[in-house]
Formats: sequence, C-alpha cells, structure tokens
Amino acid sequence: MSQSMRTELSRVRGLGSAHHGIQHWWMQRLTAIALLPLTVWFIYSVLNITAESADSAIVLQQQAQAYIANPFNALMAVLLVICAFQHLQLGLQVVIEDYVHNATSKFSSLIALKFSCFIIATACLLSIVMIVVR
Amino acid sequence: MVELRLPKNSCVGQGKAWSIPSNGKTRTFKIYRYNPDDGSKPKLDSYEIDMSECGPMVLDALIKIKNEIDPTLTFRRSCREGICGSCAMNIDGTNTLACTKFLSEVQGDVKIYPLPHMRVIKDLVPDLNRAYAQLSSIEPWLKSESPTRPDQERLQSPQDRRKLDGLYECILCFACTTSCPSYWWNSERYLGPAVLLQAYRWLEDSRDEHQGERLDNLEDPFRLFRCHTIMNCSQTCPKGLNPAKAIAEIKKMMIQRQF
Repeated sequence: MSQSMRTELSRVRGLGSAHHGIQHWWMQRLTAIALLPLTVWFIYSVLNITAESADSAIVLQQQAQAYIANPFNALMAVLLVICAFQHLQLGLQVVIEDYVHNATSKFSSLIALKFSCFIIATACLLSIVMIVVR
Repeated sequence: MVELRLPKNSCVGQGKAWSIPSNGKTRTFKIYRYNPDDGSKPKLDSYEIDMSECGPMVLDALIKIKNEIDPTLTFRRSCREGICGSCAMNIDGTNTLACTKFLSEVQGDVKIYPLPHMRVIKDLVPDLNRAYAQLSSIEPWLKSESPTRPDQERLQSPQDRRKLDGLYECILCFACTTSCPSYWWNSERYLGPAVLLQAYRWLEDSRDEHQGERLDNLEDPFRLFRCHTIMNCSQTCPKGLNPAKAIAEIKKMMIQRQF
C-alpha cells in the first residue's frame, strides 16, 4: 500500500505539534456568542427598514441609510461585520483543512479565503463609515 | 484536490451465495469479503444459517460460518466477552463488537463489514497499525519523577480515582475512531477519539506529573482540533463510554491554562 519505509510512529509524530489551535477554537466560540444578539438585531433591522412601504429601490436605499446613520445602529452594524467575517473565515478555514489535502490547492484556497474575507469586511466597514459621516 | 470518487477497492460487488433449505428458522448474513492476493474487487457473500443451531451473538454466527460453511472467512476474535476489543466490526451499519451484539437486535438480513475507512488486510480484518502508533505517540503510561518509598505504591485519593471511571474501561477496539468522519478524512494527522480518550485518561490521572507536556503535544489544529463534535464516537462505543466528552474536557484544560 504505502511506498515509504518510514515507521508508522515516525509518520504519526510527523512535524510535531503546532502548539496552537486553542486560540482559533476560542475565537470561533466567542464570535458565535457575539453573533447571537447581533443576528437578532440584523433581522429586526431588515424587518424595520422594509416595514415602511418604499416606492422604488432609491427610496429603500434612503431608508436603510437613515437607519444605519443612527449611532447605535452604526455600532451594531460594525460589530456584526467584524464578528460575522471573523467567524466566517475561521469556519471556512476548518472546512478547507478538512477536505483539501493537496498542498498547492490548500494554501492557495486558504490565502484566497483570508484575502477575500478581509477585503469584503473592510468594504462593508468603509460603507458604514461613509454613511455615518455623510 | 478534493477526492470525489471512491477508490477502486471501495466498490463492493456481488459475491457467492451459500443457501440451505429453509426450515422457517434460517437467517441470511451478508458479509464483506476481500482478499488482496486474488486481485479482485471486494464482494458481499451471503450465507444462510439455521438459527436453531446458532448462539445468540453475531460472533457465534461468524464462528459457525467459519467452522461449518466457509473456512476462508477471516476475522479477529478472542475473548468473546467484550474485553479484548478484537472483534470490532461494522454490523447492521454500526461499529460494535461482534461478541456483545445480539442477533436479535438486528432487523432482517445481518450485514457485516470491516471497520470503515481503514485499509483492509483480509475480509473483516482492518489494518490498525497507524491507530496503534497514534496511541503510542501520546505515551499512555504514568510519567512521574517524584520518588516513592520502595515499599509503597503511588497514592491516589478515592475521589481522584473516581475521575478515571468512564476512561479506564476503554478496550481500544477503535470502533469510535473508525466511526468518525473527521478521522476518515484526516487519519494521518488527527489522533481520533479512542486515542484522545486515552490521552485524557492520563491527563486526568492525579499521579501523573506531565500534564503540561501532554497538553503541549496535543495542542495542534489537526491532532486534537479536527474533532468537530460529530458525536459518532459516543454513539457507537460498545462499552458505553463517551470519548466526545473526554475530548471536550481536553479542550477545556487548554482554555483553563490560558486564563
């Protein structure tokens, strides 16, 4: 089956323990707890914004901007973006590590994941800041 | 990339059928057969046996088949009382011990496969060498420098001894480890529930003096943190133990030493 003449114990010990992993696990739990109230707020906000009838997409956009311009809502939106994207990239990292075993595909998808989450999260935060300071 | 198709040896074909005249008490056993020497794919052989002449356990039926119908059927067994862990296999879709599984618990035909996702040596015998190496990698023995008097054992309070209940009973049959999808995908690096339960058994032993070093060796995204609390391990354990809880306790210990 295996071509290598290495012993099983040598293979199991491999490159040794990475001495990390608990921070990843802890952050995933912390962001999950934080997302509970933040998600409730988000659903409430969407219902709130769409409750008033809007004739066009422009009106709807104005309603949403007015809603986010409120300091409390802006704070919640910022927290939601930070927690959601942190949680997303931690979770998808685990999925990639689980299923992608080819080194090239693994590292390229991990890099793509981290970059895209960071870019989209920053774009979201920038949008909120622009709405608030407008 | 991601493997989407099963390896060639995972496609099981139709095998031989050994039938007997029905007397109303016959039962069919569908058993996985694979012989690496004959170069053919695995097959599912079916055996009919007279239940009025068979013991109550799945292992009784396997031994009857081997003795009376087909001596080439290969499986491991030893103690026939659930303490050696040799006869772990997949019966009726669940990993368990053939010797403690009642035939009356199985509805319809009895389907028997080797432990899932392991290299098969022959028929129901899986290659457990890696799992054993993983067990030795966690150094499952008492490590302690403090000298004891030559005429005295290492003392442990009854309360501390009770912490090992639910851990020491593990017979290392690897039914849990081979039921874990995370182990299926990453068995080269993830230690698996059986070995992690053993690791916790030594972490929790009040006489051991190497807790920190043991935790250091486990703290790894793959060795420990491939556990995604799927819980198959605790559901399938034929000894009724809870490896998932042991793994959660190891994670809690790691949190504990951070704050």
